Amino acid sequence: MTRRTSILLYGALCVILIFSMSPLAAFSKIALENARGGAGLSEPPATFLSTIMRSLRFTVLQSLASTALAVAIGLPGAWFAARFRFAGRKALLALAAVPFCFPPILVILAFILYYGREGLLSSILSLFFGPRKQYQGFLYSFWGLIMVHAFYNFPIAVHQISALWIRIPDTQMEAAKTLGAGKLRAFRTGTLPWLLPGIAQASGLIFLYCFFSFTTVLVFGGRAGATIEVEIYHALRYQSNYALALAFSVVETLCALLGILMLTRIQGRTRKSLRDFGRTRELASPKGIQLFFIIMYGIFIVLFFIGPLLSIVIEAFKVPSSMGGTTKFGFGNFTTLIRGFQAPLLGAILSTVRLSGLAAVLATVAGVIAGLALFFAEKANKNGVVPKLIEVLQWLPMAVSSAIFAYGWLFLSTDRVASIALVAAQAVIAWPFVSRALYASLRAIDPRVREAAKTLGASPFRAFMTVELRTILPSIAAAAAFAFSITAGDVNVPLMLGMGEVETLPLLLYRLTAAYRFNEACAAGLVLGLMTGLVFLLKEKVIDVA
Amino acid sequence: MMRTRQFIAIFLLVGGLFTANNPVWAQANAQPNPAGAELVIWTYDSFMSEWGPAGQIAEAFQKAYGAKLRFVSKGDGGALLSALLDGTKKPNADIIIGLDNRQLAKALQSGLFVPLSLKNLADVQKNLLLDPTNRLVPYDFGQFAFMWDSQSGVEPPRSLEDLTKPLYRKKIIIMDPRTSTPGLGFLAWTEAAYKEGWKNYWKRLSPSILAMTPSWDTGYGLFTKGEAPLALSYSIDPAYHKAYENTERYKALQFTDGHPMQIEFAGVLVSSPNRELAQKFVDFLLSAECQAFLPETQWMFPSNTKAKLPASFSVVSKYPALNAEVGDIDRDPSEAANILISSP
Repeated sequence: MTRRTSILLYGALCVILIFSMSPLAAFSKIALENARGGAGLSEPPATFLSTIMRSLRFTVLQSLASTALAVAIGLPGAWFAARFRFAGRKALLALAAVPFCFPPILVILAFILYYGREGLLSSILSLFFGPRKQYQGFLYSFWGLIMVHAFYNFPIAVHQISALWIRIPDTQMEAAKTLGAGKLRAFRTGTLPWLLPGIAQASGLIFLYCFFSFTTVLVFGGRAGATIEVEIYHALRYQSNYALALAFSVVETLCALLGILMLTRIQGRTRKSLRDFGRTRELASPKGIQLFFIIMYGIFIVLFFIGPLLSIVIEAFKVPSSMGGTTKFGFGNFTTLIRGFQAPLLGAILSTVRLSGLAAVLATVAGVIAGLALFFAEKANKNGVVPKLIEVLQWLPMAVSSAIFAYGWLFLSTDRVASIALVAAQAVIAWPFVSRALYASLRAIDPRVREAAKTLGASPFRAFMTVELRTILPSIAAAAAFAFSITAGDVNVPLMLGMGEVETLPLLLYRLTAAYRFNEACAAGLVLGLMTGLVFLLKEKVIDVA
Repeated sequence: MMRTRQFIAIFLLVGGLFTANNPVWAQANAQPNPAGAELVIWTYDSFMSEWGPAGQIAEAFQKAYGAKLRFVSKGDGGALLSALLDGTKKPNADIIIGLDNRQLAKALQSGLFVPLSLKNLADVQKNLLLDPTNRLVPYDFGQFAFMWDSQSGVEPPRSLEDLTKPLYRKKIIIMDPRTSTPGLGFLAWTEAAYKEGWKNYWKRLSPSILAMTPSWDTGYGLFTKGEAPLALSYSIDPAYHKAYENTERYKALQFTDGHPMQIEFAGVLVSSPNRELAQKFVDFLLSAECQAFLPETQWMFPSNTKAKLPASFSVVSKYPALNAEVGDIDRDPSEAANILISSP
């Protein structure tokens, strides 16, 4: 490693470190001052501890249950997608974009509309099974929460598990069968050992997402309990108790780090599984009973997952009558939002585009610096401290509550300006996605192309500009679009900050949903879905071009 | 490759534009009150929602005084008080609207409000003037009551005790006492009715509660969507259904325990650079003209005795009042909520 590159590397590392760590430090400082001032811990330590333990228990329990259900729903789909060729296979795999492109608040809205007492599903069911029985408010119970989590995250399981499964050949299983093993036993010895890391990896990821679940629990949780994330929100917004929020987030982060550590271990093992079998296998046409099961699965997914999402579109154009008349279809909900008092929709769209656009640009810059630094650092010294540190920093936003980042930046900004805190916090959350995408595409470049450029007389700088940069530019653009999609759909940070001054689209959506003004909420939700979804289409395009 | 470049160029251009000239930025960085042209009012969601009175009030005030109002919602009532008392953030507002009688003592203790001398105070119903220093003045009031869906086929309860009957299993919606003022009001109600035994009552009540919602909006929305036949709300709500839906399907229930009052207050902050104008606004808020906006937007009684009541209020009955306070406002709400969360 030359002197110049090492200086550059350490410079980049410092930038990333300051970017990620300064809000945490700022928050901790204020929280500890708060505690010392006696304002924080008015409760005796015993109740303090029991509050934390109770919410930790609930958080872990609901994450475990949600993960189990999500994987159970996803496994058949993963198997179908890995073994058979059928119409809708690509669509099934593409569903994995839903949890990333459609914010939870939108999916929550869809679920209430669809599964609620007056929802589409229960109306359809009542056609077949007569009038509804005693409604027990299933959605608002513990299992309702689990169901929402499971359906939101199952596409991740389908995508990740099938990506591995498609590479596992049947040879081992066949061998076991020839040796006299039954079907189940053959699967257990021939396929399962290679498949398990994939299942574990998907489970780990879904567990982490559910562990940090906030909006879903806030809306559906109520009586079932509160996740640590919701408790942090309560402590910040309703008690202004920063010390309590800090205590909660320390516990949360420790648990998440443990989870991430396990996840990275598993990832190492799936890479090994992938290396063992390089090629993907041929897909077969499903026959007889197989086709039947695929169709049943398709109906199940459409009925329980696509249905809710579609109902947003329908409800957005349904205009409820205020004077007991009939409902009409039209653009009434949109016009109310555009022309009504303080005209929330256009302002919300503009501020979302502005703030999230800015956050996405910041995240892209930080992500590119980090991704390049990681790549060069690894090239220079595989087992050095720098690449390890950057890798750890990439995980940080997944291990720390977004509330802490948001309040940290709030404390750092001189006038406590909420929009600065919002942009900075969202950028901190989004940059690892950029750096990971960039790093992956840098690693995918065949070193021989670069060598060829060099032998043809290009200087190292020129070689980098013509080979690497050209290859990674589309993936930077894609990652930037992705960063925008994440930040534009984020409702956690603005909710945590309690922003009254600037209303973003997800915030408007939350407010309308909370007020049970579903049709207007759907209209706003449709706009948000188009915005985050459109970015995703762009991203796909960019990938195709590349 | 060409298209990729175009895309990247557009992306960078758009990104650059955001950074260079960002109006949201400018707006957020601006001083809260440039040249006294605008008053900033902190309130809760439903006051400034499309159905709330904020729009009409702003228009009328601008006509009369030529000054603009900017309403900023802090979420629900609980978050409003918390935002106000947060020692690390200065409240950058002139006026607060929406603290209720149970939050009064805590709000006054903060010393954040200035005493007001208002001429319309003379017309305000005397029993509502809970703050003798007139730092926080009452602008409307109502009574808590349970609303009942008469088409649900469920027999209406007649007391708090009735709500604990197995007949009402998972049939009642209440609000979270930590976050919403009706939730806090219900806690006060149970503390007044059961004295030391209120925690025991909440334990017995627990099986009947379908949902404990973070705000009144959510809870009442659930109720009107038919998710439960009973919901904690206000005795005035039948007027709303009469005016908007011309139905008397939803009825307020009279309980033998009596009904606690909710009185809502407004005040001017010491830190306001426009105290004169802000005081004029609060006086305007109490005037008969402005008070006439409140009944059919806030769905509360106006505090000014000279304000006219709309026809829809004919379906509202006034119940025997119950004097109800929360014993320890810092601790009781979370204890009550925790009883519901940790039990089935």
